[in-house]
Amino acid sequence: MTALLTVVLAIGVLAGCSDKTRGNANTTAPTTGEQTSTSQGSSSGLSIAKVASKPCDTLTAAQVAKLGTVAAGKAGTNVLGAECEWKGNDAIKNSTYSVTVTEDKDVEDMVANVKSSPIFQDKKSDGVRLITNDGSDGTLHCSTIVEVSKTDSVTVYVAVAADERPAKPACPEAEKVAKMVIENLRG
Amino acid sequence: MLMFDAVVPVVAGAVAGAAAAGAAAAGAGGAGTAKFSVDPDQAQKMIDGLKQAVNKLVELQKQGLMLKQSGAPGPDPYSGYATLAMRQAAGDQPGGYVWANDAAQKALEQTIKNIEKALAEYRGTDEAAQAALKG
Repeated sequence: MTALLTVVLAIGVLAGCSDKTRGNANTTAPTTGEQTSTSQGSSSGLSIAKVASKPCDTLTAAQVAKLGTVAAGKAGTNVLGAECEWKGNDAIKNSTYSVTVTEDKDVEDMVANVKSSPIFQDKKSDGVRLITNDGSDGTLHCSTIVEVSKTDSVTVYVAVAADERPAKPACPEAEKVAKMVIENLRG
Repeated sequence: MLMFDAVVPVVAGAVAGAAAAGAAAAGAGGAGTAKFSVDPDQAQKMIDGLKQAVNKLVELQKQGLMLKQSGAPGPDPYSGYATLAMRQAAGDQPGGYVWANDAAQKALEQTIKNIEKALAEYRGTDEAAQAALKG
């Protein structure tokens, strides 16, 4: 009797173990799947080689014309890398745009730094990962990070001028410019 | 002289007292206004100066985001804590930098519009007076 009970208990314990193992395997599987999809996302087919030292080449003249009344692109640098800024002619009437090319800086780390922002969207557009975020409510300014590879990225920052705010919500505007930049990073 | 309302982004009671000394009437959203006057010939210069100030705020706001995105100054725990503290001071909550910068931008923009309106009205009145004299 006691022997039988032990056997039954042992089977129960074994069954529990195998269940647990299977459970663990199941919870691990989706995580691996996600990682795979992320690494697929980083092979975006884009390259910043052409623009790394020429940030103003991230937008063509025709694309810049679509931004509104802005001054010619002015190249410079900021903490994230080489930057080109197209400043609105009039601080009240015309919005200001900036594109920064970042090399050798972990994109995931940068995303983690802005993740707590009131506006945060992480999505894919035509196979390219776009992370849009704003530290405020997205009416005055917004930015979009384009993931080129695990360590290369482009950050678009838009500051929408007062008169343009009703017609240009900042976050869709930043994404629009990000998509323009992507066109020039292909091939 | 042109009269116009300068918008002051008032934070709380303590600052409201100071603004009241400038004959301010508390407006909506915690902002106050103060009456100012400027010589019409100088008004455009004032508008240009205020627009430059808006541009500066836009630039600083952008640099702020870049710093936030770039992250902790170093991998040691102290830098990490410093970053957390900075994030709060730099954030969009009332008193945080993003919030203060936005409020200041909006106040300057409204002030510029108020001067432009006063200037347009002044020119309109001036032209009407000239026309009346000619007539």
